[in-house]
Amino acid sequence: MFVRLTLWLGGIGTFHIRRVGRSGIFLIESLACLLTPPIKWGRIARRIQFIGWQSTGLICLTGAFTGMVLALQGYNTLKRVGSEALLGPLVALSLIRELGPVLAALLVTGRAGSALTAEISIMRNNEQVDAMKLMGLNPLRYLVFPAMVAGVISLTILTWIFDVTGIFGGYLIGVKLLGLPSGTYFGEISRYLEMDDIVGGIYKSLSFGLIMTWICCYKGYYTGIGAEGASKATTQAVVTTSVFILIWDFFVTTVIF
Amino acid sequence: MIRVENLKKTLTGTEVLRDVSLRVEKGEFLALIGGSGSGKSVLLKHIAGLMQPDSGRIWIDDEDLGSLRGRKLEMIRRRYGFVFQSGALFDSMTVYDNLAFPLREKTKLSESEIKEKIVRELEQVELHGVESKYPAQLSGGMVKRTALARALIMDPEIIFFDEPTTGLDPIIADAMLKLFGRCQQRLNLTGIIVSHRIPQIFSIAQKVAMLHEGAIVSAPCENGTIQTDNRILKQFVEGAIEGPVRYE
Ligand SMILES: Nc1ncnc2c1ncn2[C@@H]1O[C@H](COP(=O)(O)OP(=O)(O)O)[C@@H](O)[C@H]1O
Ligand SMILES: [Mg+2]
Repeated sequence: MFVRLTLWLGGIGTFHIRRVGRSGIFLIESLACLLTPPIKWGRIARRIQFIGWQSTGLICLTGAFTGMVLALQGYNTLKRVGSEALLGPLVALSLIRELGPVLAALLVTGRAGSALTAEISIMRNNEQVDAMKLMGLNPLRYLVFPAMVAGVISLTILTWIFDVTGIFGGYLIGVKLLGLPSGTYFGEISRYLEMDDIVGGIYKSLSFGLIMTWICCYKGYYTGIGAEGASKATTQAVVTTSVFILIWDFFVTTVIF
Repeated sequence: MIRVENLKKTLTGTEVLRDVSLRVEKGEFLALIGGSGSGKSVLLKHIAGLMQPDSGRIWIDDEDLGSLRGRKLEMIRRRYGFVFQSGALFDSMTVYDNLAFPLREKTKLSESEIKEKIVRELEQVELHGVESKYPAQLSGGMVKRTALARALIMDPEIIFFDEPTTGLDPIIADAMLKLFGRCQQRLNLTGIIVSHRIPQIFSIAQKVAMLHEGAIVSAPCENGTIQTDNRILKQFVEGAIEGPVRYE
């Protein structure tokens, strides 16, 4: 009984260790494309258009509303301690240090990451990946590496757009609706905002971009059979990426801030 | 020449290939038949080097496929043309770009030489006016023709067809078979074709191999019929319900 239990646990253990190993090798082999040209610039550009450009509308909308709700909630809280003047820094710091990178990453995962998984998964099931291998071409170079580069670049820029629209949303609520002087809102932001906050936010979005494209491409590349396999892979990709980003966010925050 | 020796492969707990041995001589066209799910595609993928066997060997001429890595494996693969079951055309590219892709990535041909080659190849497979169409806009037969053209564009010596006639209506399917036969003859290709067009397939193949319960039963074919005493093979070819194999 005890032996069987041990064997069972051991089986599960090796299964997961092997998976982690495989995904690690997947990441390293994909990134190795950076060192072994040619780099497919055209494909990177098309991926940026897909992951980045096509997400800007969504990011602007959600960024603005996040900033607005932060301002509303923040104003009411700050009012109780009599420091409404600090509304600007509250909104800006929350966005730049935390909410911008995380929310942008989660939104882009839902929008573009899932599509990435589905696309690679279908290419896999349609044997397009095999066809590429038989042509002597490395599928990681054509499908995965461009997505990773584009993910990192796009998410960094999108996070900035999210932050800026968020701060503007906070301005609309704080200044236009609640009557805070506009000089106070922006003045206090520039007084309290430090370079470290901005750099920390950038580190976060860079790593989130890599995590998102890594997991989403990996799940697509090692997908299950048929339509069911593809849909499972897509769901798993979104869930795993989201969980991973939140956990990673915690560790990055403890280290850099 | 392709030689497969005692190939074994277990996939997700099922022994798909139990003990497969097979030989295809240079310039020979082998018809691979067998029930659906019997492992025909898996066998082709092993020979193409896309899957690794649990045990057994595959020889291409004098090279042991299992021992090849990197550059050497690529050299072998360069001699292959593969027409996949689904066509495997890149659906983000037009027909023209699908054909141009391997040429652009793997050769130093100029854009005008590439164009010349593509026009010639499309003529060979009797396709006209589809260069700028996307795979999703093509009919089933056109997809197979495009896939054939793409498989031939790198001038392979060995060609694999995985169910190139499945899903086509009988008339187009037979036209396709004849086209494959002609291409194979003209280019003197060594090939394996998986198809359920019985008996039409026997008039383009020189040998038939049936994959049954993870092993091969083979027989030569001549003048469009096969010569065999094997009861399992006979039953399958005649499409009989009664016989050594029971269908539920
Ligand atoms: N990549 C794979 N992983 C697990 N099982 C597979 C894989 N490819 C094929 N199989 C299984 O192997 C068996 C043979 O499949 P296949 O070679 O596609 O049959 P067919 O003779 O119809 O081409 C099937 O039961 C299939 O489910
Ligand atoms: Mg098959």
